[in-house]
Amino acid sequence: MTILTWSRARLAASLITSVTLTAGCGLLDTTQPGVIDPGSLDSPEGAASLRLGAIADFGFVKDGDGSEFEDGLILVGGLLADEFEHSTTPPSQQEIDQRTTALINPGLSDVYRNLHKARAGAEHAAEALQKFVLQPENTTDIAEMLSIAGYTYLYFGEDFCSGVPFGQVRGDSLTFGTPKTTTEIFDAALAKFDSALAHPGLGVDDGSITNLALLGRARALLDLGQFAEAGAAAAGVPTEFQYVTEHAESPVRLQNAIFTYGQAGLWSLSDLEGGVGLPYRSANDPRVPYTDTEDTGLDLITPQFNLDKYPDATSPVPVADGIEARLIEAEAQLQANDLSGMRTTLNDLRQNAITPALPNLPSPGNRDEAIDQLFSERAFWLFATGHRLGDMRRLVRPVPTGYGRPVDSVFPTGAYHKGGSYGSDVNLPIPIEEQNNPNSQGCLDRNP
Amino acid sequence: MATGIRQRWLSPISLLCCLIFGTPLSAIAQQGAIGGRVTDQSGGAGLEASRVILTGTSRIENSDREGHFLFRNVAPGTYQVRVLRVGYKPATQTASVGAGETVALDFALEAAPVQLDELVTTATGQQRKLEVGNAVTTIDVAKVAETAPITEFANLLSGRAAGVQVLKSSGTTGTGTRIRIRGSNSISLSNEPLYYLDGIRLESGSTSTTLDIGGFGVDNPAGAGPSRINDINPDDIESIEIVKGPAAATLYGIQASNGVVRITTKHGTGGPPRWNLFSEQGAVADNNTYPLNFAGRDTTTAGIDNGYDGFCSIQSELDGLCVQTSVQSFQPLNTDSTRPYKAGLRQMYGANVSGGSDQVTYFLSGSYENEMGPFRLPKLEEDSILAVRGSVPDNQRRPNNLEKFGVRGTVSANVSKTFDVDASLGFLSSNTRFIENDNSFLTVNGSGTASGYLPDFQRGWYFIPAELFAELANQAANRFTGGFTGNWRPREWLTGRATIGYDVVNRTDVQFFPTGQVADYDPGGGSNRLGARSDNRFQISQTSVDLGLSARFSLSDAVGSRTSVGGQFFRDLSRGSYASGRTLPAGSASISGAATTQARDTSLESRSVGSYVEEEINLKQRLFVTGALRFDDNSAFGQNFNATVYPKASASWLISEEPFFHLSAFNTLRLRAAFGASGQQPGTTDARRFFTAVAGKRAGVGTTGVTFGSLGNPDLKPERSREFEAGIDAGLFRDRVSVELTYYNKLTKDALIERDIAPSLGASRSQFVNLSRIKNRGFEVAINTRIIDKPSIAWDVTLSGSTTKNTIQELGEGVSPIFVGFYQRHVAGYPAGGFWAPLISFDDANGDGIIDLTEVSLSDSSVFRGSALPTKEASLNSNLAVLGGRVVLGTQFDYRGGHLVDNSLEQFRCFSVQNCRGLYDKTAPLEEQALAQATFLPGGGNSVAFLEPGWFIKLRELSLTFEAPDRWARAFRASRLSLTLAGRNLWTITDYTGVDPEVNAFAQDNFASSDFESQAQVRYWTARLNVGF
Repeated sequence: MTILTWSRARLAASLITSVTLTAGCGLLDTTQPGVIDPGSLDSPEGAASLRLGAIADFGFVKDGDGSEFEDGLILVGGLLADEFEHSTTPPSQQEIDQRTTALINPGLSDVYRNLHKARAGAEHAAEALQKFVLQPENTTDIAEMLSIAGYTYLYFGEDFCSGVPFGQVRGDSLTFGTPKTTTEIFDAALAKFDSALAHPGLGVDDGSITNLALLGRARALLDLGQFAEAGAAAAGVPTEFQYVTEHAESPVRLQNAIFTYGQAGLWSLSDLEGGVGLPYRSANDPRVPYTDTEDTGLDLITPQFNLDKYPDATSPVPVADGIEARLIEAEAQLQANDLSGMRTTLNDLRQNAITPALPNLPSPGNRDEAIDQLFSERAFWLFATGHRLGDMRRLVRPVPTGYGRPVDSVFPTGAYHKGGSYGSDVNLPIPIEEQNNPNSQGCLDRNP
Repeated sequence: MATGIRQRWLSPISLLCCLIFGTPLSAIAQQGAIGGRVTDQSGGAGLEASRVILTGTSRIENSDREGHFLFRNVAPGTYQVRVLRVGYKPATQTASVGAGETVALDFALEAAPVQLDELVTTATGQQRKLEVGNAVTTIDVAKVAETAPITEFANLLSGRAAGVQVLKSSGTTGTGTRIRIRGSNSISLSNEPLYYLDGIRLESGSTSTTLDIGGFGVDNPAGAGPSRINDINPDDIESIEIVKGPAAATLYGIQASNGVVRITTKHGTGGPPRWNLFSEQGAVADNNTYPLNFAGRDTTTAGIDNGYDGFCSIQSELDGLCVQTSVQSFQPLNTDSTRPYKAGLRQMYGANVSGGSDQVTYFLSGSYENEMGPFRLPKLEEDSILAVRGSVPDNQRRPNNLEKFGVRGTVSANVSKTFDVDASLGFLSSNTRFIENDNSFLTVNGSGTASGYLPDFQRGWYFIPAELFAELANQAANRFTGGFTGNWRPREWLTGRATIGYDVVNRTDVQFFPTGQVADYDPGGGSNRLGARSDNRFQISQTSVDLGLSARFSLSDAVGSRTSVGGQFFRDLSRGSYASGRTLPAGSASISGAATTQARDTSLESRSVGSYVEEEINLKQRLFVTGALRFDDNSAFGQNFNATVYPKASASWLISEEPFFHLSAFNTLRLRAAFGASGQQPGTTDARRFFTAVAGKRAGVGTTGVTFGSLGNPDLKPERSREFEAGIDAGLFRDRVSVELTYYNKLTKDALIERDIAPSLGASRSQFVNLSRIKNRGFEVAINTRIIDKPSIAWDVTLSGSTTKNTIQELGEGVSPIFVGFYQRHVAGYPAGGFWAPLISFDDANGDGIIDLTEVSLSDSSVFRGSALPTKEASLNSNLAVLGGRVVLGTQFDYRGGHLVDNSLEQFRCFSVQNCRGLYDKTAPLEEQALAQATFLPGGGNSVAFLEPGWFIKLRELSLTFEAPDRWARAFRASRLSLTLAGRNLWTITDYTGVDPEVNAFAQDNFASSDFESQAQVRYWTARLNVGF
């Protein structure tokens, strides 16, 4: 009996040992070709791949893609602003258009997450390039990554409510960010652009990255209400400068969603939305070209007008350009009460930055008219580039950093075109997923 | 008695097998034989699939379709021959066999639902049910498949096992099924059971497709994909055993926590070839009524914005925006001239042959199945296409079709007195044409019910069926399932077993939008109308190796012992490639030449090894106590986690055999209890931190970079489910009634949740962590009774049912509620995936019979509304046999309840496309008006859920089988002739106001449930003729 029991025990032990040994002998080794180990990126080539990935992620979140699952920041911001109307069916997107966005909103979550991913990717790439590139002082790539990171901060500050945190993953460590106010976010953006401009690699720049950083700096200063400094930063950027995110037909992730959403009948070009929106269609302005499809969008309710500014899915989308530089200078002139100078600057653009030239603007009768004129010009020149929501917020933000306009005079108001009424959002909320950050407090406020 | 049995018959197949397995033919000489027939005592009908055991040897034969069995090459001597069959009392007779002599033994079995001597297959081999301390349900498939309206494998499980829920997601031919055993254990991992076929582990993906035909995204567990388990031909199956939870499934190792379904295919019996042929003809029809589309017309003009014509709602009129001059309604899905349905033909043909010699037996089968779904292009549209194009392609005329061809064979060879080999080989080729099925205007349901158009435009459709049906979505699959099992009996007390199995599915998913012929719809990447084609090819395989050794000892006269050890290796491998092209020239059906093309690939592999040791002690063959340990390691575990150990213990006590037991009503009473643990492995790459490649474009040139792929989790370990179950098996009133009652309590610890990562980390969307705890507990009951038991008439009734209470005990510290689907959440303290939404209240304050916006309100926050999965299920199966069993009437009623259904379609119709009745019709019930209005309240919209009680009772099966008299059969030179007329999904009782409470637009998703533009269940009528030769 004892022997029998001992034999069984030995048999069992042998079996267990054999399993352990076989596991140790590689029986459990598998290959996953699609998986890239983080350690394999610790090289100049790896850092270069991180940079290209960051650029791809940046374009992806800003402009969306052709899948119709990733709306992109320009479309979402334009939906909340007066640029686009919702012409399809998902209620979660309609909430944004109706200024009643809930914290649980898949489209919003995607944009928020992907914007952070682009931001963190650019910051990581900048660090990796600095660490692994053999001569970091001979490349503009690091300054470019810092600038792209800076733009992501700008987008957070301009489109989202106060309280966005910024964390990072490095090696095995996760660092959760703490909520930053809108002003702190713009400060962070400014710091990124200043770091970019200070990077020695710009010594070999042909001007493109320097101008990208300068314009970012100017935009951040504008958001902070430092108008004169903003104008000074923009002054050095030539009008013909342009830095774009690029698109392609294939893969779908690279398609320009601003084009595809119109073609698919999802987002329609607005006109006087909510009574106070700008007349993007009725103005018949060549800077906002469009096609009347004479049909409704997918919802069968909303008339479908497609924006032709981006004529196909491969159309590039500006991140920053010299026109914006002149507009920033014009705003600095406005703030300096140089209304005539502002008009001259704006008319120069209308005469020279588009063919055929646009007629000159009339002289504004007073400062309010000048503000209207400037912001209208910004809206038409910068249509569907991710500026309008930030501009509308600046219009309703208290003086001196903003213009103190009533919200109802800027944001769409009253009856919503598909029933119900517009809500009160002037920015996008921090989606519910951020509650997994122990430091998150959600929106600190929903102020402009 | 035993006449007509040829003793030494070898078919060419047997001969071939002898040569393959090296069977010594000389061993046949100078032996005897035992043969006979097993019949039902009531009517005298032959009982197929009875297990006939030659005690004292390892030989077991299965009776054939007429109940015949034969042991050849029996050494001279005296034997006990024991016959076991599900649903009958065992019988034993003695046979003395002389050299060259054939002994005939006939067995007339008495029906008895409680069968503790029945053999069940466990992880350690075959055991008597009596020895097993947990509930095991056995389904006698051989009989069911022939006489019930079984159109796919999942039908076999539906309503036939307490605690097993079969959730068919749509009525479209070829679409799949969710199967849950004792509730859902895991929030993030699969809740589908494991499947074994003749010991071979099966690939059983519940949604096996990359076709983008609705649902909620390609590659997500959604859309109308097939379930691979439905590849198995029910006619090839002998029996199914359902091992329900960790208490029973411990020794199956990781992945077994959701239960195990063991499928045993038909095996041959010795003797001359016996042929069975069948032909099934039937119809598949949509008998549903779809909700009307409403429009509020405003035919006035002065001062009215004509944009409201058609959308002049009750509220719009109250707001002075329009004048409602009439309310119109129409539904193209219900109207004869526009209806895209027509009964489809279902046909199936099959043949099998079995036979063999003493050394080798075989069973070979082949079948062909063709089921045409219920969709058909309306005649009006067909004529239009004919006029323009001259012909209508088959796939446009009948867009939904399934075709299967399968062959299967099992060969068993006695290589020596101590060693036999079983080979189980099967091949299936299927071709299924799907139709857009869920969540899309491209579905006929979506295009019909979500259309704002009235019949004067597009005949009431959003997209007309001609455009919808021009799309081709086809899946071709070839599947090989093969394995060898060797059984070794070196000593009377020692047995060994080795099974090597390989199951591989090669699948090609092709989707084609012919240029200019399909709906002008852009699903992303451009309009389908410009032409598009995708071609995705996958190979998914499972390799399994199972080794086991069992030793039985008698420790004393009263105490017996059984010791088992074993080990397993599993390898799951999935490789696939995706190719697609958009913008095709007219007439082209190839990706080549497309204006834009895309390609990518995927590869996933996981491996696991495990071993077990089990000790069973029995006392006087009445009390059985078992203890076991299982060890597992898996490639998907985190680097900081090693192997895992699962314990098991069980006891089974046949108390009715004890001298002190004197309850006269009980013929049999067994008490049983079991405790065990099992697990669920993480996903293949869930533990790893990694980057993935991402395409870009810079300076006009395509680039590739890397982006964060997954945060990973080095501490990741398997989920661990432990379960306690206890129950009784009782035979009452002379075994006329049997009761099986089981209570189970299952706790899953370290449950994996796909936790959202704070987006501000800039990493991946989520991370798998072992944080949560989920509890499932409930009761299962099965009552079998033979109400009438006479030679001329017999009536069997089985009532089975179960309750399941699912609760997430803990989600994990700091984990916010996890959102699933539209209105479902995983929240601690509530059922997994329960429905959460604001409460809607209304009051017709002014008493005008109209609910306006001011008279309806929403609660401030979402509250728990109810479970999304049924918490109660029951089925009533009845078989009434008359004329000595020649005519059998079978019915199955299926009940599910205790849950809610999300009528998202109606929500969508009210809020998004604005064509529901509640918006326009002032005579609509106030509640209906209030729901519609609520969607337009501030904070309404997407947060307003149309949740309704989901209970239903369905007459799931109705069948009438006529077994022709033998002389009729002989007239056709057949030995047996039967005809079955059957129907499926014939009648429904429910309070649900949508079309069908069973459908789910998320298809086989783990939890997400919604009725949204999915094809409702359809009705089947079949006639099946069986002929035996």
